[in-house]
Amino acid sequence: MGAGGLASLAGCQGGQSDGGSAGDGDASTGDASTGDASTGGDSRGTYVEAVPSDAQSLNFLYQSDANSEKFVGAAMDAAYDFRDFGEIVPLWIESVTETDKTVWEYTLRDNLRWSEPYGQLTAEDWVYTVRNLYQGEGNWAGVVQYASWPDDVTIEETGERSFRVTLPEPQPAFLASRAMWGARCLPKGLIEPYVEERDVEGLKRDEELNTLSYTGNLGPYDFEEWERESRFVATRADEYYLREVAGEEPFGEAFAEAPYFDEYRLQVIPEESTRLQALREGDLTFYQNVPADKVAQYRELDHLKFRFPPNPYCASLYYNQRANGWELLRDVRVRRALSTAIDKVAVAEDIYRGFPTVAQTFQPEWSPWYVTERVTEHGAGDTHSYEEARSLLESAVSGTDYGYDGDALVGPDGSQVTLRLVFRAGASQNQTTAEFVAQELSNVGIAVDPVNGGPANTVQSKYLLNTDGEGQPTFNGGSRDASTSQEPWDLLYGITLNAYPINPNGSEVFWTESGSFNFFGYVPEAPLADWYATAKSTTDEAARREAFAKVFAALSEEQPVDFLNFSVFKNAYRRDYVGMPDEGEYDYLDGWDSTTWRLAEG
Amino acid sequence: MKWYVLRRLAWTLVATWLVLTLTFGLVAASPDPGASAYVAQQVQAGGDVEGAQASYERARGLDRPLWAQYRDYMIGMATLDWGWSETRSQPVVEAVAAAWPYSVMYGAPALLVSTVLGVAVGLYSATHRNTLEDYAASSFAFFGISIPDFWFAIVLILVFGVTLGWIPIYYRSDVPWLSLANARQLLAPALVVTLSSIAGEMRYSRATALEYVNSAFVKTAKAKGASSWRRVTRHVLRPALVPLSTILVADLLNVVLVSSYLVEVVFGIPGLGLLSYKAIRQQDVALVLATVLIPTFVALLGNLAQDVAYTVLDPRIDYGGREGR
Repeated sequence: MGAGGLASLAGCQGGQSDGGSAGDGDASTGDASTGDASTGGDSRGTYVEAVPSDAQSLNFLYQSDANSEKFVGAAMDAAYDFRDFGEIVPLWIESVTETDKTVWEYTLRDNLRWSEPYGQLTAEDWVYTVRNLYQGEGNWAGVVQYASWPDDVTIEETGERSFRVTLPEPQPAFLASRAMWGARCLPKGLIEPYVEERDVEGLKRDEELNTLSYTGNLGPYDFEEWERESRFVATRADEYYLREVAGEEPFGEAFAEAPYFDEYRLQVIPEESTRLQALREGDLTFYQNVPADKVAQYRELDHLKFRFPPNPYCASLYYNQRANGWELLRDVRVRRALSTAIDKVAVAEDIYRGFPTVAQTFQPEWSPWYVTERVTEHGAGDTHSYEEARSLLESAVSGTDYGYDGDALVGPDGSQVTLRLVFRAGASQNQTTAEFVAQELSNVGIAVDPVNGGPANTVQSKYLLNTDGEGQPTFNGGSRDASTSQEPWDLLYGITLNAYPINPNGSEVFWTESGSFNFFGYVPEAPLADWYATAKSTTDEAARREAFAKVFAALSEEQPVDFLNFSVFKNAYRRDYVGMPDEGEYDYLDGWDSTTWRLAEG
Repeated sequence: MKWYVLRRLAWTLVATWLVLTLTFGLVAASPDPGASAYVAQQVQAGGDVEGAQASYERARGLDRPLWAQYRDYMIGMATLDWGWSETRSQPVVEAVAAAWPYSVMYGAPALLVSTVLGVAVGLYSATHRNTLEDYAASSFAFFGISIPDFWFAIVLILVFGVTLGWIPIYYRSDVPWLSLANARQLLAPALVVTLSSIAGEMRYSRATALEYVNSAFVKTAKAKGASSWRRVTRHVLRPALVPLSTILVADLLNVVLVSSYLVEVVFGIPGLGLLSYKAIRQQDVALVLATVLIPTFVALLGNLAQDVAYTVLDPRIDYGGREGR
């Protein structure tokens, strides 16, 4: 969990094989003639990035971690990517057409080749992979793509290079669903023997799948070696299919020679301090997300430059509205009061060094779905007020067994209300934020007891998963009166959730009563499920925008959680590594053309 | 003697089975962080928890009854088919084979140096008791015993890597093994392991040798004109080696079980320690069992070798009498 823990629909930004527009403000700076990353002549240098942990697998059927995707992405592109909201970058897919947002026709490029003996990448490969693996009966192969391909979606071949996906009902945002966005297929000839035998072990252990030796011309680099817990090395592909489309929209002429490194190296360095030291020493071309408290120090180094692409993960303080949380958290007025009492500007500025932007709902301000005038603000500027918070609390508790005794809010037993705030271990700012929240709520007479909840998997098993005692624990085990987590909690911090700005359909799992990730027991007063249903199915773009505007307005009003902030990636680059947008211009989806980024020539 | 060794070997198998069974049980009872992350991801993508849990387990063979998993692991262990590492996507045997040279590269020299120097300095201290040199050696030993390995490793990186630039700040496995660059990057890890081992060796050998330096047979040797060197090497060292051989196994275990974890994690060396540490953290059952098997064998076979060594070092020791029991 945390940034990068729970599934992200947005790729990490900044490095090779990730997104970016081609603006370039640094081409004239720096000296590219140092180390093995020099340029000029036949040598294009080596791209070096340090990663905190190794990939689990190069077999993308079984990987669920971001690092594995980074490794695989070096050797294989995917169907398509996004370069702006609603604008795709056609990679393996040359074109997409749709009818009534229900029937989607995809045409593959004609220059896509697997390694021998598998020949051309065809629609047959795609259809076979989807039908037999992604939609395999009962997910017999246990592949990670299963959730993205429901059984009622059909796929059929319509030509050698074209196939059709038919949905049971219109889905205007199907393009931005995980079924095809960033999706890949496999050569039919490679997987067929395993499919026929239902051989999971064979599929998992196949040498070609595990060494990416089938990727042909489908990615910018060819797999060279992977030494576990040490390094992943790929070399520039001799034939990269995108070179042939250089100059065509949206691909610039720069793609004619892409990628611009002879070698792509991911160095596994588990210790953050050691990774940072490698960055300081000039060993790295790119470093993703320098810790906030180190940015100022590293910006002073002449050989580095920084970019701050937006991060779609929302940091929130969760209110437990299930039966093992404070009962008054079910009252919207109480949640609003708490959110009003907590200064989210101070959290962003003082704890996270000013990098995040304050959140007011489950979309960042830069999202096309964020409608400023519809959003109700809490806890920032004028809307941060202890007096207002206390007033809201007094109004909420009137007529109940709770009430103020002096400055303290006391419960039915006459003692001060004490809330249990669980925070996730692993980042010092989590504890600091928890302590700050405690300090803020003490100003409205509520005591808070911060509790270290342990690492992500412990937090998940003890506080997120819940059950009514009959079924297996899930993230939403049913009625909030009956289904509770293993350990009681009132407030929880340290879990960031992806707001899915490309396609907020997915956020339904958090905010509807039956949403599969609604672990905190929120029962919306507004008809969020209906609005989500409209947004998902309407083919009228204006109606979709209106539906989402209502959803995010209601969330800001009802405060199911205290939306605290959206952060940014604090990415460091060698100063002579050029091609990325200028500082301040690096937007959410920039980075899609990072294979054209290069080291500036001397 | 032959029967004794055979019995001990049989006991080794039983003890190994017990250790592996216990480890399997502990891993099976622990929450799986990989499953947690996978299920969370699948649920957010629209899947259901039970389906995601089921597909995770199916892909890893965890959907079979626990007994069947246990049986297959044990058969695999016995037949040297140690299974498939789910977190590394490679056969466990391959993972272990790739990792052990890195541990040996710094562990073997460290063990050799600490043994030779530790015993030598310990003997010197014993024969020069309460001198300045003895105090200096004791102080060094206490420093080595007291200082935590991981802290010392970080200090070495900071001082010699970051400040002075003499050693690399992280381990580069693409450097040729037989090269000066590799020796340079292994120096600090070897030093950390050496320091923690040498201290124990010194203190133990000093204490053991002290029992003999004033014994009648050493005094007799001195009276007969034996030189100091001869008295130490022939009359003190030999009887002292019997108890000292005990600490050798303990030292080896210290390297395999403790130092390798700390040193490899801090320096980023892809050896057995890091392999085992990651396997435990990520609950890679097959890999955990394999990496537990190695120190288990080191301990059991080391103890056996040590017992046999007793009879070589001291002919008065004979296990033959136990055969009749």
